Amino acid sequence: MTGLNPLTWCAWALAAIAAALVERNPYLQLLLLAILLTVWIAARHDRSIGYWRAALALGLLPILFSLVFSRFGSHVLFRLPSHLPVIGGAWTVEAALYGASTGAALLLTVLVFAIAQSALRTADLLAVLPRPLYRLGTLVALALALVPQALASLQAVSETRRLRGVRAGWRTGLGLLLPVLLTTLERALQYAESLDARGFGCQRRTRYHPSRWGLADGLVLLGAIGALAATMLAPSGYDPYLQLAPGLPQTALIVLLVPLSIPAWLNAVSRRAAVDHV
Amino acid sequence: MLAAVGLVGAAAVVLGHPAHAAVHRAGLVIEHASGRLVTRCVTFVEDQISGFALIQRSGLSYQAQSYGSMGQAICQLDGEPSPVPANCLGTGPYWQYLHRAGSRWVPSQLGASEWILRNGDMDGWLYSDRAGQMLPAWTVEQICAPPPRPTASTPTASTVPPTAAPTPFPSPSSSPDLRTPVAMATPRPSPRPPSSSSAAGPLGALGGSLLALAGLSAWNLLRRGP
Repeated sequence: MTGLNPLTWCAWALAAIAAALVERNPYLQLLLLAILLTVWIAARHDRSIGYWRAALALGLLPILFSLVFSRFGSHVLFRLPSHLPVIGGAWTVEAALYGASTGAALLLTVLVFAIAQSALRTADLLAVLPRPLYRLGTLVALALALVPQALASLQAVSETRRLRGVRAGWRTGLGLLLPVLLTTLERALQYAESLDARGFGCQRRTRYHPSRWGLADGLVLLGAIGALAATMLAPSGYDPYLQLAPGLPQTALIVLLVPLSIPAWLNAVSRRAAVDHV
Repeated sequence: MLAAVGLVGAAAVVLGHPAHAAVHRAGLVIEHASGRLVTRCVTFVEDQISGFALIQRSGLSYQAQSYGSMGQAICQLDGEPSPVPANCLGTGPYWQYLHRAGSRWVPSQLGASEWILRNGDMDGWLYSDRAGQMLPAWTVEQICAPPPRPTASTPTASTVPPTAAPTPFPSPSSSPDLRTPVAMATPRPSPRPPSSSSAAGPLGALGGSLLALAGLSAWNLLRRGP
C-alpha cells in the first residue's frame, strides 16, 4: 500500500476530490462512499482517524442550513408563521435534500483527505517537490504537519487532564487552549529543526528511500485519469428542487468511477506477498 | 436545404449582414399554467446565444430580475403570472426551465443567462409548481417554419425572415399537420418511469460494484486482523 509513489497518490487524490465535489447524483455518491471506505480500510494505519465526528458534522450542517434558509420547493414538511424573521414560512423536503447532497459532497471530500493523509508521509511529499521549491517545501511541511500535531496534542492534553480528575466539557475548553498552543508550537519548532538537520532546504540531498515507479503506479494512474475524465466530461447532477427522485446515472460513469478503488485491490493482492517475505 | 441556406445568406447580404454569416435556429416552447402552448423559432447569426437572449429575441414579453452572479431569474413570461409576485418568484408556481436533449426534456441545472444554445437547440419553459412535468415532444424542425422553397425569382428572398428576428409559429389552424405528432391531451400524462430494460444497466453495474467493494473491504479487514 505504501509502495505506491507519492505522486501517484496525489493524482489519485486529485481525481477522487474532483469526483467527490462534482458528482451530485445520490447513486454515484453512494458508490463513491463505498469506494473511499474500501480504500480507507486498505490504506489506514493502525491508529484510526479520530476526526470522523467533525466530518459527520460537516456533512450534516448543510442540511440544517438549507432547511432553515431555503423557502423553495413544493413538498412542505411544515409551516412556521411567516411573520417570524428568518425561519418563518414553509420548510420543504427539497431544501433538506439539497443540503444533504451538498453535505455528502463535503463528507466525501473529507474522506479523500483522510485517506491521502494516512497514505502519504509529509517527508515523501517533500521529496518529490522540484528542486527550486525546497525552501518553500519546509514551509509546506510545517503547514501540513500543524493540524495533525495540534489534534494530537489536544488529545494528549485532554487525556492528561482527565487523569487528573478534571471533567471534560465546554467549560474546560478555554483552559485547554494555552497548553495545546504551546505544545504545538514546540513540536513544530522541533520538526523544523529536524528537517534542517536532515538537509531539507539544501541544494542537493540524497534519498534514503527513493520512490520508484512500478506497474501498480501505472494502474492507479490509469484509473485516476479515467475517473477524472469521466467526471469532467459527463458530470452527473441532482437538483431536488426540479425533480425530487434522482435519476439513474449512466453505466459508463459507474464503470469509470469504480477504478478509483484500484489501490485497495492492489493492497488485497500484495499483502500476502509482503507477509510471506517478513 | 443548401439552396435555402444560400438564399438566407443572400437575404442577409440584402439586410447588411456579412455574407459569410451562417444562420442558426433555436426553438422555444412555453407552456402556461392553463396548458396553452406558445412556440417561437429564433434565428441568429452568432455561433451561440444564451437562453436569456433566446427569450429576448423571441419577442415574448418577460420580466426578469438579476440575482447577481447567479444570473437572471424569470419572474414573468408572456404575461404570466400577472401581476409579478413581490419577490419575483413568489411561493407558488414558477417558470421551470428545461432543455431539449435528444428525444427528451431535461430540467436545467443552470439559469437562462448561463445556458448556451447552438444551432438546432431548443429550450422550454413550463409554468407550474410541480416538478417532473414535461413539455410536448417537439423538434426544432416542427417549431421552425419549414425553410422557404427556393425559386428562381429574387423577390422571394425578401420573404425570408430577417436574421435575429422572431418568426411566429404558424397557428394550428393554418398548419394542422404540425400538431399531429404531438399528444395534446390537456391533462398531460405524467412522465413515464424509466423502463426496466433501461434501468437494469446502471442498477446492475451499481449493485455489482457495491458488492465487489464490500467483499474487497471484508477481505482486507480479515487479512489485517481485527
